[in-house]
Amino acid sequence: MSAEPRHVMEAILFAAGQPVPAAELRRLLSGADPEALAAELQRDYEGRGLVLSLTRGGYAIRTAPAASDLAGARAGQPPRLSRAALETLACIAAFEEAGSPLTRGEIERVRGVGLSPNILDALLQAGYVRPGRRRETRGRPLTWLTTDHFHDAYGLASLADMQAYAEMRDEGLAVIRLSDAVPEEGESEDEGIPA
Amino acid sequence: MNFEEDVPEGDEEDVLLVSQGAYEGPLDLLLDLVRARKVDVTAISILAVVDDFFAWMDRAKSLRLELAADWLVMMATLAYIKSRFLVPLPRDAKPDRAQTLLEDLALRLRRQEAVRALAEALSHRPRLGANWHPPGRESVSGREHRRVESTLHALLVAYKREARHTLGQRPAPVRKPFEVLSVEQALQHLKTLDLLHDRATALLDAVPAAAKGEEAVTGRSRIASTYVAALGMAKAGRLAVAAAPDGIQVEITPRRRP
Repeated sequence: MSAEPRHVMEAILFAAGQPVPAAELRRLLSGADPEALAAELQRDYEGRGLVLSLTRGGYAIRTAPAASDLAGARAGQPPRLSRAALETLACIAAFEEAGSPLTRGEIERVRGVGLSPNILDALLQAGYVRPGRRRETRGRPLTWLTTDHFHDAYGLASLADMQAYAEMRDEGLAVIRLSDAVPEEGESEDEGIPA
Repeated sequence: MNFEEDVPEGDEEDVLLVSQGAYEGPLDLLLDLVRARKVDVTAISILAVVDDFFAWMDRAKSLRLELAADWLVMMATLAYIKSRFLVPLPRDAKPDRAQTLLEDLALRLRRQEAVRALAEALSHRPRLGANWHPPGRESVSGREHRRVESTLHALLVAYKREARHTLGQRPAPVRKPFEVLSVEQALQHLKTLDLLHDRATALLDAVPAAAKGEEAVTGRSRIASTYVAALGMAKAGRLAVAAAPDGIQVEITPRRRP
């Protein structure tokens, strides 16, 4: 007896627990189109306690947020993210999505406040951010990127799913200003607007 | 049971949240005030803006500590902007610098707003482990299944986890004592020096020779201690100390013991 491909895919996702990349699903399902199967599965799950989530790291089966309160009470809550941490996370994610990952100093310029070490620690510990490449400028500062786990956690295939990011991008705000990086004029060690 | 989405944002301990009607944070306020006046920033009287700010705080009718702190930030920004206009223009500066600066500030503030809006939107999304869950795990908040993205990442996470247990407070650095020539040593040196009896000798020539690779403070102490030692010997009547004819050097002449 051969199972329906979408049920095989469901079983794979359930057993994996974490997102499975579309390419791997296609290989496991010997060529079946994961996208079409996912659409079928999504229809199956309508009105159920589970959802199919498409994130940057692939497809995953998750409990439906509307039905998760008791499951959450049983599993325990992860530490809350402070507002400062969320803003830092938003900065890192937005500029990564826009193609220019931020260094720590640039995060401070963009947010207009100093970045306490606890914030990056909290984000690291939550597994939402990771260090990226070093920028080839003076001091070779480390840039910061978001992890696939971040996209999984918030159910994002890409940050462009979020209206708030799309607006930010369309208004041309997801850019590092020249004045963020270098002194504006002369040799002065200008630190920019102390916002 | 914990209804995450029902918790108001303002109850976090480490949050300085100013949310009064349409205003979100002091810099937006600043920009609004500056815009409303529609004046050249150079003409902004800080006093006038302070008055506006107080009027606004009256309207807000709840004086909070955060507001005072934000006020300071706003004043600092204003002072910064003003100072940028007060410093003389470099010769090659573009004349529209004032406009550029204002536009730059406006863009920064809009960008800041956008980041805040994005953070706000994120906080309203369900978060894995809090509002929705993966299948079949005893503790979804556990980190055991998380993929490590890079070795540096793993190191940083592990470091953070271990640091608080293993890293004690760093001891204060021990300052190496200065090596100096004491007055006693200088005295010994002067006594052993074979000075000519009929002629004055420049005191600087009587200073002990420098050791190889000595620090600056040692060199200075050699000179200072020798001068003090010379004065001591003059007091004891064994030397005459006098200004050289050039008025700069100090000369010593040995005296015979009576």
